[in-house]
Amino acid sequence: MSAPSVLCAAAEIALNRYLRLESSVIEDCARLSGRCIEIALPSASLTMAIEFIPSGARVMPESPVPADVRVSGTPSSLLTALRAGSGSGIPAGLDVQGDVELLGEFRAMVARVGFDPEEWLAPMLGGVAAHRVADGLKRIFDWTRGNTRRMADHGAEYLREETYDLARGRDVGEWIEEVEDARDALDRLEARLRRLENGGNDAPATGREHA
Amino acid sequence: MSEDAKSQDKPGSTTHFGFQQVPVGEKRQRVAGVFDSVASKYDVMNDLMSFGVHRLWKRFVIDLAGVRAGEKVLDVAGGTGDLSREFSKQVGPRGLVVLSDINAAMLGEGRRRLADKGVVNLPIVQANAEMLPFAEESFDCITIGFGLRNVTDKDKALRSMCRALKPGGRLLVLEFSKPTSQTLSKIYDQYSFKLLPLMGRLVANDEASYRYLAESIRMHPDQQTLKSMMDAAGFGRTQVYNLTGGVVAVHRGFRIE
Ligand SMILES: C[S@@+](CC[C@H](N)C(=O)[O-])C[C@H]1O[C@@H](n2cnc3c(N)ncnc32)[C@H](O)[C@@H]1O
Repeated sequence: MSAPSVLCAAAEIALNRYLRLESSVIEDCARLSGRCIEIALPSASLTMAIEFIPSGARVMPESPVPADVRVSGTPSSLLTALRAGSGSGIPAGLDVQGDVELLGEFRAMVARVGFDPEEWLAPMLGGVAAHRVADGLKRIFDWTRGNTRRMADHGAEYLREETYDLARGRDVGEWIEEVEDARDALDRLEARLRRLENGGNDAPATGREHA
Repeated sequence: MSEDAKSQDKPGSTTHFGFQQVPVGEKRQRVAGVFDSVASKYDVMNDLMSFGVHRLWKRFVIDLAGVRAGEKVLDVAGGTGDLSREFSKQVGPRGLVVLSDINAAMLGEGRRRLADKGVVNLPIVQANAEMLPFAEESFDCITIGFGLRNVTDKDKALRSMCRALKPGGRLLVLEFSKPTSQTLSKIYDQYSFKLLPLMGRLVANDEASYRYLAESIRMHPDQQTLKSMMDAAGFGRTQVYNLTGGVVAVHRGFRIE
């Protein structure tokens, strides 16, 4: 079954924030524009597609065009593949069909921007600690078929519950503030990374300006 | 002029205003009447009506829009400017955000609220979504938040927004929609037809306007219909994102190159 669109949105938002940290990675996205990677998690009967566009990537429940490469495996083999970068071959338990090179490029890109799968949902959820998000993700991935369907039916509501979004039953204003704080913290981190990369002599940057 | 607009403008033809049928030419005036009367209390009512959740819905739109420094963004039916304010932070000094709305009172309120938050350099344009006065291919991103259901000729508005987008640019429509579960749907009916007009009466002293809001939500096309309308208007990769069980949906489509 295709992943719920809100889950795809969360993945897309986080992925793009990373891809846009590095102008050369965005150039790669533009070069690969229109090409598509389909990711399947058979244990959760979930699929999701990543399509490159000039400004980053779109993540959708289904591939809008025949996918160039299809990747299927356990959640942990997928996370390992993303964490390891391009150098280390395809991890055991991952089935890859189609253009292996495209997958390799994607892995190299996410490695270059320091993408951390555990933080995938963090920017969406603001103040929620990353390990709790990772827990939430694991639960999403480990769901049985029935649960997955329930998630699809309930969309954002369900995503929020399962990722411990604390907005429910709590003052929303307070939550918004936390989101803003987390956002600022992320901006500061991005600026710090850029300064480090540029040998400390760069003007303050948000990390998004060059994109 | 488009075919549907032509047929809608025929003498004697009607359209819906909430649950009432009114002459096509009258709907715009009536909608204007509603927003003239709610403008000053609009934000308070928004918070009350949605229990504050409208902020989360808007946050989702802002995140999904993925606006980057230097981009050009148009906020259609932008009212008091919530979305514009966020986008203006994101586009930075090299970018541009235009706040537009058909209603001068809402824009006046918007201008005041933006100035309160220190946003002063943002162009404000009074315009009908059906006939946007911008050159073709002007914007990277267009949003319309809780506005489309008030527009008389939605197809025409969608085409007009598509035209104003650069190829590959995106439109995000945030609008009330159809709850995906029956239970939620029933609760929501009670809420919107009983509680909402009551709150309208108590807080804004304007029951009729809030009754119109509840009715207009029911008359708005459901998720699939709106998606088809977007595809027909020239958008591709159109995706529906249900929020809060479909009470609200975000549609995002890209202008096909
Ligand atoms: C519910 S308010 C939404 C305001 C704001 N976008 C928000 O989300 O808070 C709807 C707005 O749509 C505007 N509107 C109604 N018909 C319109 C049209 N044909 N063209 C442009 N704006 C329109 C109204 O004036 C009003 O400001």
